[in-house]
This record gives sequence, structure tokens and C-alpha cells, in this order.
Amino acid sequence: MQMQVNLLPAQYRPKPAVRFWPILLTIIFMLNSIALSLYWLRLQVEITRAQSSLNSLQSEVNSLQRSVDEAEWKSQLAADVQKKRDFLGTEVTESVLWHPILNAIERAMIPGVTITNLNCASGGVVSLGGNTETIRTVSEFLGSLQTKTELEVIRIHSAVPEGGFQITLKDWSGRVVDEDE
Amino acid sequence: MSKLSTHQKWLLVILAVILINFAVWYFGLSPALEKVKAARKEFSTVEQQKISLQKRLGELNAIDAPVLQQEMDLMNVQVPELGYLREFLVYIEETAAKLGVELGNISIAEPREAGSYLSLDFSLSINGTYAQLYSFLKTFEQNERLLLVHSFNLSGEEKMSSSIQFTIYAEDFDQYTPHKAPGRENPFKDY
Repeated sequence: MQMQVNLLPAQYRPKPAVRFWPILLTIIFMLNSIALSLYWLRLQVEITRAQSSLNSLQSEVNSLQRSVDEAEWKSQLAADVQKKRDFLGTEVTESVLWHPILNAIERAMIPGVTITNLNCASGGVVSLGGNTETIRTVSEFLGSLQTKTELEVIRIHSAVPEGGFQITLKDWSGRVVDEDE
Repeated sequence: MSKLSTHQKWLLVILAVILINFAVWYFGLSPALEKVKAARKEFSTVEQQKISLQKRLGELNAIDAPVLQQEMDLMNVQVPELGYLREFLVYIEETAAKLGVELGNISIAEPREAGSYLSLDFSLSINGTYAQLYSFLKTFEQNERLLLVHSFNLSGEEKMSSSIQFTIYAEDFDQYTPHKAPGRENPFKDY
């Protein structure tokens, strides 16, 4: 077996050719591994952070939910108040106040006229029956009623001199005419 | 393996690295990305929930509860939760006595629905002078409870008679109104 011995000093010996691609590929593989590891690490950190933020937000939401639940009675109260307010408003608006008509009739009375019966029915209809001395007296009473009650529709149905008369007042509500007691 | 050339060995290494990359993506990075995406989505949902809760709390805090409660207390006098029918009947009798009005028949109908509440219709016969009957009607109409007179009539001269039809309201007329009675051995005999 033949053996080749290089007797030249080390600095003069021929150097092996540098292999460029294996080095480049090794560097690329290493960079690839580092990039993958860093990206994975970053994702893990992001997951931890997101989870922690979510937990913190969730506890904030839970606390808000408790506050809302505790304050929900206010909403119920507001609804109940509105319901009752509406009901009262409707009932009162649609109702008729009667004692002011008696007051207005008192003030409208003139000598020679006497009321014998009075009937107030729903819808604001007031029927008056009474006695009069003359037709003139009852017609003056009609005008007096118009002045004191401020009603537009007052009908006289019958009148007998020195006898009875019948008058109807319509659309009385009793909530607009000023009382003068 | 030793029979492979250096070139082939490097190709194998490249292939292996590509496979490793794919495996890392498939089993490690992709699920982690999904987790991040899911967490972000949930965060956004919870944040929306927080915003709506904050808005609701703001609305609730803006409600002036003491003022509303005060208004409710006033309205509860007009339309009470309980009917207080026993108390109301006593009130009619006491008012009539105070004004010198002679109380006749009181008819009470069955409670009926009036919106979200109940109403109770009364028909009342009374006798007295004009001034007494006028005062009675006025007292009735000025009652702190919502008492609506639907119709009434007056007739007579000195001694007049009247009948009044009116309605009161409550949330419930069938509540328990206890009264402590002394009792009697013979209910058909008044001692």
C-alpha cells in the first residue's frame, strides 16, 4: 500500500475547497428552526396574554352584571310608575267632575225658577227639571246657564208658564270651568 | 445510506426539514393560532357585553328612584295595591255621619278588570238637604283615592234624595281584611 506524505510546512500545504452550499443550507435550517421556535413562543405568550385579558374582562363583566341585576328594580319601578301614571291619566281625563255643575247651577239661578230634579249621566249630560213662572224667566235661566257653565249645547225641551220645564246641558266635563264658591 | 451521494444526502435533509416544518405548523403553530383567534373573538364578544352592560347600568343609574318612589306612593293612595274595601265602607258611613247625610242602600258590584287594575262599582242612596248632599258629593269627588262618580241624581225640595253611581280602583279587592270579633252563641239573636 502506497502512502502519500506531505512534507511541506502546514502553511504551504494545499487547502481543501470551501463547500459553500452545505454551509448556506445549514445556516438556513438553523434560522428556520430559530424562527419557528420564536414564532411558537410568541404565540404562546399571546395566548397567555389573551387568556389573562379575557379573565380580567370576564370578572369585570360579572361585576357589572351584578350591579345591573341589583339596579334592575329601578327599571321595574319606572315601568310600574309609568303604567299607573298612564292609567290614572286616562281615567281622570275620561271622567267627569260633577260638583262644579251644581255650583254653576247655583250661580245661574234667577228669581222665578226652581229646580225640582237634576240628573247627571255619563258622557257629561245634565238634565234639569223644574218650575218656572213665565217663559221669559226660563229663557233667561237658559242664558244664565250658558254664561255660568260655559257650555255651548244647552237645550230647552219643554216649558209651561207657571208650570214645569225641562233643560238638558251637554258635554259637561267639570274640569275646566273655574269654581267661584 | 452510505451508498447515497453527498448531493442526495443533502436533498434528503432538505426534505426532512420541510417535513419537520409542516409538522410543526400542523401540530404546533396552527392550533396555537386558532387558540389566539378564538381568544380574540371571545374577548371581542365579552367586550360588547361589557359595553351593553355599562350602557344599561348608565340607564338604570339615570333613573331617579327616590322621586319615582315618591310618585308611586302618591299614586298608591289613589289606586292602592289592596282594595281596603272594609275601610272604604267605614269611610262612607263616617263621611255621611259627619255631613249629616242619611245613608240609604249601598250596592256593590263584582270587581272587574280595568286595564291592569280592578275596579269596583258602587251605587249609593242618600238623603239630606241640598247643602248636605252637595258637600257629600264634593267630599267624595275630592277624595284622595281615585273615586270617579259616573252619574247621580237629585230630587226633592227641603229634604232631598240622591243616588250616586261611582267606581273605585285597586290592584286587588280580594285581600284578607281581618277583624277581631267577640262572637255570639246564638247568631240569630242580638243581645
